[in-house]
Amino acid sequence: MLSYFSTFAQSSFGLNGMLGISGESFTSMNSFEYNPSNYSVIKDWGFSFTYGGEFAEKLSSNLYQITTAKKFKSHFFSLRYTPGYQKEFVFRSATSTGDSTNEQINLESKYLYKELFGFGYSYKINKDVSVGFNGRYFKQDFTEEIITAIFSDTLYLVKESDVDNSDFWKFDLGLIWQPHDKLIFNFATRNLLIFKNNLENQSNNKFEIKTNKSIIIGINYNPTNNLIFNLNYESENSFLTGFTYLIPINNNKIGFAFSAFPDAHQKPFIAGINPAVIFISKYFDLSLTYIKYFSDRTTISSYSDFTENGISNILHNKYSYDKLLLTTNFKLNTIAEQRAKILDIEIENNIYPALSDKYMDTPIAKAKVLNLTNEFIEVKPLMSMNGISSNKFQSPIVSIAPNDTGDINYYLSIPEDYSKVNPEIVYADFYINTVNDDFDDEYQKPILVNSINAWDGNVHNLKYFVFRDMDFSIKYAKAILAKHKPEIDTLTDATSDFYKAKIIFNAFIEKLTYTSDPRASVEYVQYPKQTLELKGGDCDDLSVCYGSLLESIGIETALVDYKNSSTVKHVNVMFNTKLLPQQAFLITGNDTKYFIRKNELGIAEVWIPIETTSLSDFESAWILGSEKFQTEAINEFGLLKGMIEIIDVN
Amino acid sequence: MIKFILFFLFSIVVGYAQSFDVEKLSGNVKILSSGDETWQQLKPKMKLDGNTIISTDINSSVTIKNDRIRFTLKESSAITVSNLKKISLDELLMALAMENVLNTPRKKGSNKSDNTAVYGDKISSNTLTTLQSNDFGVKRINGAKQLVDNGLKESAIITVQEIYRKYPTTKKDTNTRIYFSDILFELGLYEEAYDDYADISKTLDLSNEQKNYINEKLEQISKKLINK
Repeated sequence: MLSYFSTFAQSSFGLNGMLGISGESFTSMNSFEYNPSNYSVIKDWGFSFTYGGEFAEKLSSNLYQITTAKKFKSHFFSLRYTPGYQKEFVFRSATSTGDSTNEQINLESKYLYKELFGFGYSYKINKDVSVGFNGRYFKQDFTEEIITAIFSDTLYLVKESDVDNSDFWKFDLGLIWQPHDKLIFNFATRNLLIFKNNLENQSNNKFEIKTNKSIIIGINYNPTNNLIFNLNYESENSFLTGFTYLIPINNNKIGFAFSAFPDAHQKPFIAGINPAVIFISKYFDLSLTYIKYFSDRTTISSYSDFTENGISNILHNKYSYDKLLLTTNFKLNTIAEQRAKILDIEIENNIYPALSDKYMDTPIAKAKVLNLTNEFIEVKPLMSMNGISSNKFQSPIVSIAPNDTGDINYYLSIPEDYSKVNPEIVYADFYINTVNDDFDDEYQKPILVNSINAWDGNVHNLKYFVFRDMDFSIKYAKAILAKHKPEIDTLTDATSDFYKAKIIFNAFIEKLTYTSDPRASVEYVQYPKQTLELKGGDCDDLSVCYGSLLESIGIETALVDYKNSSTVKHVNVMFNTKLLPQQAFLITGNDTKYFIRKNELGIAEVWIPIETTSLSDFESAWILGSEKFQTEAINEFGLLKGMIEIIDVN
Repeated sequence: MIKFILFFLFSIVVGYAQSFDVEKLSGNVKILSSGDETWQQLKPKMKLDGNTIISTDINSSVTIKNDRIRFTLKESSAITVSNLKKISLDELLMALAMENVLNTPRKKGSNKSDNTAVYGDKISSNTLTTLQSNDFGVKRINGAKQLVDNGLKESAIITVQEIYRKYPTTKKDTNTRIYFSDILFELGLYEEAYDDYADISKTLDLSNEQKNYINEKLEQISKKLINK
């Protein structure tokens, strides 16, 4: 819940004090005075009208402003026409002709100040920060009646008007920062840039609107959903403080607000108060605002005082009369209202790009999402990650009950060509939408993306290294087999897989040496192509490489994870010969060198373990692998104790 | 906590899995050392490590021993030295899950087709079955029975499960199946014994006498389980 009502320091005080830094109201759009950041939360179109009356000697009524606004994604534009933003001062004086008649002549000096129109633009940088600026066009017309003597046959005294005018543009910047759901800070300039035409008569300069530069700092705090406090300070030593209280009724809100505004240019200390009643609905807002000044507002003021001090604000100055204003805002949104809100997002793990397939099944982040409506909603989560992919990746849609929270999983798709070798922190953008392509909410969090060769140490995840570069493995394995065609042609179908695995092992280890991982904070695993190009690797690399070559020719492979073998973790490979147990004698007469595993159809098959770090020949690697497996996995119950695990790679 | 204690006990057992010395040798006894493919003649005073297989011919036997166990392998039998160990009933219960741990937990529907490439002539499984002598499986069964004779019943159960996996035809021998089901019964593993008897009754051709015996056992176990 954000602020619904606020009035700013007096000299930057808008027409009716309403401030709509709110998810449900856009009243800020019509008030460039207190909203230089031009911040608004409307989703599409907004129109605002203010009609009111001033309690002068005679009650005068006027259309004060018409504003239209439009939002394009994170960009917000507005235009304001202000026919009622004007103030005229008329000073009358009398002078005598000085001739024999000594006739009195009444003269008038008029000083008319107008703000005609303005425009604003803002950009929402993220869900917490919005920046913007506005420009406003002012006109000043000064008319002074003077007596001019015309000498001819007779002396004539003619009353003439000396007209002088100037116009100027005023530009200001603003920033809204919401560090917390219940807290908003605003920072703005006042009279930052002025571009004006000078008056012809420099003696009129003293009548110009004062444009002293100042800054506005404000805070809005809503301790409960219904109550909002605000305090705004302007560096010219004016400030304004107040509160708003809103009561929800069905889907609407009714409330009242009260504020007081000490003003450096007015007396007494509290120059006035600003009570208002407010109605906020889904499609329009209404406010009835009364502005009461405490000092005496007589219709006759001192010319010398005016000459000396002038005014700094057309609407609110010490000559302003009390006002009653009715403001209507129409929210013509063709874009859906926010129906869901991200409360929090928890990043599950750092990213290991090699495990890209895993992230299609395992979420990298979980979001708590609040359904803001009274009906079931379908929430579509999307995510993009700078440096990995600019495309938004959609995760499964989740249904959330009315006014309830739900857990949303974000999955990640990493492009196949991702190949960064250095880790980096990137920003992940999380989105949710419920109706169309316009996001209901978005969230950004940093996340560590490791090197393409980084591995999280979980042997289950080595299989993702096995299947990367599979095209290369297929070509490499087939090239080896092609060289041994005569030998392979003599094989029976039953022993084909066994001997092909043997041929490939003997060929692939020929040029390899055992090398340890580079020193790094995370485990490093080479892809099969890298292992063969670099001509070496450690147990992970060699097992991944051999497993990949076997899988590439259709031989089922499993990684054997020796989790605590002599305090050193170790991995080797076992593969499926596809032989039945009663066929095992075709490859060995030693029944401790193979193991029986039933497939999912319940058919028992002969598997043999291979110690890939034994870079001599297949027979040695088989003996070492089977001895280790028989001893540690079977005899010492390593499999049962969970110290050893068989991980099928496919 | 219980798991931790069991693992601790396992570790103690493993610690005692020492090598054996040949004490007494008679007739033709051969060994297959770890990883080897060639049988060697066993000679007196040889040391045998855990992965060594001992096999005896007819009218042959060997007695081996270490600090804890003295074991005689009679004629026409085979045993792997690592099978000669004392384990508790609780450890046996865990070990009976070995098959489940070994089996491939692949997803349903992911049954991979065989490699479509064909090299040479295909020999059917049935043909190959007839090619293999089942003698060694039978020798293994004999060795497992002698574990029972030497008081290593728990180890015998684990061993025979491994034999059934590697020599599946031995699982079709009714007397052997009933023999080891009776061991489970004697050890008080009634649920496991019940499953075994039931499997024998369901999968093997039984004589009337065998049927009656098994039905009687099943009834006994049912009563015991009900009264538990």
